Amino acid sequence: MVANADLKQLERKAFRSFYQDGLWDIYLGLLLLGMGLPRILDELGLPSAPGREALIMLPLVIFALMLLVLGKKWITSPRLGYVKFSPARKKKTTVIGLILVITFLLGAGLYALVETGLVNLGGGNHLFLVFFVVLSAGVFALMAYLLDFRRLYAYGLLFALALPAAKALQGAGSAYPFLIAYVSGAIIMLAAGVAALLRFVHKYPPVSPEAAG
Amino acid sequence: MIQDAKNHLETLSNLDRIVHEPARLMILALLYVVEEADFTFILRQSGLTWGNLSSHLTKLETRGYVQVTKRFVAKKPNTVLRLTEAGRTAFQDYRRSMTEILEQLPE
Repeated sequence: MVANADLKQLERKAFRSFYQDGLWDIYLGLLLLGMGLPRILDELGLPSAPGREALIMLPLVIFALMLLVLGKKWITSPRLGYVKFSPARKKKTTVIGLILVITFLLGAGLYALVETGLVNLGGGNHLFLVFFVVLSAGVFALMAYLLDFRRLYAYGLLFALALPAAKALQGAGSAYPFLIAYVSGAIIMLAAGVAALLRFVHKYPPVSPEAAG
Repeated sequence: MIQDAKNHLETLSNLDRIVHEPARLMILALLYVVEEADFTFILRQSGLTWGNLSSHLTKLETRGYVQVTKRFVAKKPNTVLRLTEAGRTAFQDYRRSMTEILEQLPE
């Protein structure tokens, strides 16, 4: 029994090493920043124009995704090596992928409803806000559990609390509620990601092709 | 009582020496929990030096416990390692034997 637990631990440790590169932290930090960007631009007094949000958000989201994909390809894989995990682990990853797609669609729909004013959060309609918080925190917690990626619990809270915090700050009369709520959350994730990336690069220097082969 | 002690000693002496060596045991354990991995991955996870890992892998390959496949990824050489059926069985047998021996030891 103890031997079984140790082997599971060994597999977990190997799997977790792929999340120690900080790239997911940076990606999620940029994503949170992207989510708050439309309102942040308003707060900063940038003139409104059709498609302004999309013009700024889309490059940011694409940049974040490219950073993640290329970073994994050029930084993580050559330093950590290639591994094919067990079918059980692959099944978990597929489940996570499905959860992410469904949540993204649900979250994006809900966010669009709020942003377009079809749902008014300030008018006593707190149900959507609660739903948003529960959805974000729940999905991140589930992902953290399935991926054994513990920092995701904290990131789930940052994602979940960003909107309620911004609303609370707005209610308290702050001039930049979205800027404070979203940027501070994003900075925490980005700082953690950069620190993890630097640690990872220091811990795992590149392996020469001759040595790898 | 004497017979029991004799049996324990016999089990100990029958342990597979190829698996019993700590570094090789670590390599086998790592390959046991994944489908396949390359040289770099095992190097990183085991903390062994390049030469050490290479020499242990040669022994495991010679014994037929590990399948070593050389390939090229983006024009760079890459060595993929996979536990063979014989390797899997040897590892399981070793685990069973060690568990039995350790469980039967007096407190």
